[in-house]
Amino acid sequence: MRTAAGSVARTRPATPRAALALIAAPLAVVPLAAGAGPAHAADLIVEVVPAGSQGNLMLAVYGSAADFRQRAVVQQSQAATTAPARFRFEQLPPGDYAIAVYQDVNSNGKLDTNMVGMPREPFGFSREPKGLMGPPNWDQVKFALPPDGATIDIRLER
Amino acid sequence: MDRRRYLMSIAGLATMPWADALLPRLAGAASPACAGTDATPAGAVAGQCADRADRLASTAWQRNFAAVPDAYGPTRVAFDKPLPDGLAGVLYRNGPARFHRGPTHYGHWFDGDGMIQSFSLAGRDLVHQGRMVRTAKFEREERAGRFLYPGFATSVPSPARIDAPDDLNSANISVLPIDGGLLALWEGGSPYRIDPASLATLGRQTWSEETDGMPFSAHPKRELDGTVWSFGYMAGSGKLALYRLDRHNRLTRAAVIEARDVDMVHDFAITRRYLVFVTMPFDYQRERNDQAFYQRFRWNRERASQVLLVDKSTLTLAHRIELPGLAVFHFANAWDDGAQVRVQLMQLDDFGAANDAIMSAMRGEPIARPTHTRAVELRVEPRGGRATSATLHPMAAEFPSIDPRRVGVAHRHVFAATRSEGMPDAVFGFDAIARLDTRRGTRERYVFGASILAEEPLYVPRPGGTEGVGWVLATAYDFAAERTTLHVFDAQAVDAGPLCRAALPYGLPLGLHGAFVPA
Repeated sequence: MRTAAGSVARTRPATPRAALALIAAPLAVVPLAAGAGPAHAADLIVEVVPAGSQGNLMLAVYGSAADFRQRAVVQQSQAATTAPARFRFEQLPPGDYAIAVYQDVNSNGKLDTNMVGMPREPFGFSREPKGLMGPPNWDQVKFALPPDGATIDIRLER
Repeated sequence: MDRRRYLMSIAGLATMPWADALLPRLAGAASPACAGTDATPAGAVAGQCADRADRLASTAWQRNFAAVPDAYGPTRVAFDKPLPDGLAGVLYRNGPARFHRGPTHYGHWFDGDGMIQSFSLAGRDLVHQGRMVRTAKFEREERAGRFLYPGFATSVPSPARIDAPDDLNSANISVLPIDGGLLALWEGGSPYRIDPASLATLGRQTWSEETDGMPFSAHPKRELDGTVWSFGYMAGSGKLALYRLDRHNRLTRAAVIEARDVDMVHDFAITRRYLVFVTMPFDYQRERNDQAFYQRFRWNRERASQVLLVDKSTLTLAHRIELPGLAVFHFANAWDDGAQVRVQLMQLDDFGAANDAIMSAMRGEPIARPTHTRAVELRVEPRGGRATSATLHPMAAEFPSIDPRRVGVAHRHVFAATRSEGMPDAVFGFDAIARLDTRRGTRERYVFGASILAEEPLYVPRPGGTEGVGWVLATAYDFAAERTTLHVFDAQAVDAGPLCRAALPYGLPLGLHGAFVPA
């Protein structure tokens, strides 16, 4: 599997969370389909506006409803700075994807939540669904990655 | 935009033929429609005056909220007679106050952003201040110049992203004085900390990482040793959060229990043994997150209410008892009585009609379906799994207040806002306050004058006195003069009228709940 280029901080494995976690442990990465060659591969760029410059932006790309928030296709993290962060994933097969990102402000390697599973650190999803009172479902966040690629914007800062 | 056009546009009055008669009144000029002239027969004048009085009454709420400033005072006014000996301190009140922002408007009383009022009673004077609670929602909407978030019952165009309940927090329902500080309470999210002297917003309250951002009720209950019990609901979750604070505002217990029909829970009661909840038979449509909160609820008359008794020592559900579906906002109190738990609450005849009435009032329309709330007592037998209900008094009753030293034990008196027979059905609200003696089933009542809407009557004990000895503090809004007055009553004789009162030089937005901090 081709991994993404771009600046990649060493991703510390996140502690597995219970079902209420927005972003599951991105330890398992789904291998891309065999035979996906350059002619059918697209670049995915994600621009993330952090909420402040503390901690690390932890981003995961998911490729199916079944794997959403469970097993990422690819993941990446970058230190949060005052500028927007640019994540680049090269040579992904065109198709539907969803992105989840959180800002690990205290750098403890996980999305902190309260006792009912509400996140206490900034988070965001592709297509920035409104009115969330719980984790979104795949249909609310998925987008189509066309053969010539796409740029997705996610804003953590409110 | 001049004030007249502004008011007409926001009120939708532009097509109403009587709008011109109304607006000169708002500008302070005498309305020519009600003044006699040589050309106008007396009968016609009387009819016009009656019409004008009706219009004043049905537009009272709409006008009250039309142009609320961000701040009031400090304003010093004199009481007309000296305050009674022993009464000194500060009455704090909270209530929804901001309903218009740029091109966007809220249509339900409970939508508005919260504003804290402080009434400082000392000697012969009242000093009043009012300040908006500057929640995260408020600050974001200030920057945007419009409402970004739905209120309790009103959605907004192009809403901003909502990531957590606190994004919607308007901190607009009540206050909790604790440990020398003051909390502004919403019910769907965190309290906000308020400076008790300046009413400045200090920040969002959080007690622990585990409870950070969780909802905290507007109706916590304080025991004699200062322990505060509260809860929080999270619509669609099937869960209730439970909290115990000590008198120093430290969280000493927190738990989450599973329960059905806890998608909207405004108030509760405590006894020596239990936390007491009464659920309502609403069907909640969680997938309709494009709507405002209340719009997702449908009353289901086929389903029952449940009394939930939570054991205070384990914070687990001990008993669940069914009873016919009932609608409730407020509890007066509850207590353990041998094998029974007795629960006094204010039962609404019709939850939907009550909310429709509120929205009619906000639009300046007469109420189509008058509906009432009455004090009832449930007798719950946990072991037998039975509950019976009896009306305590037929009078309209809301905003109940009891002696704070009787919380969780048997009380006798309930103070409440009520309606006199003279109040037109078409007008929402209350025009009187009463003390209900629940032992004898009798009541003493004081009716404010015509054109006056009564607010929550708060009982304040005389230090060292027995139950019911002390005073009642009640604000009331005159919708003809557009002025709010604070009244002080002898709690044992509210029907004798106020001992003293102080009139503010402005009318305050009609508020919800308060608390008194003795000097």
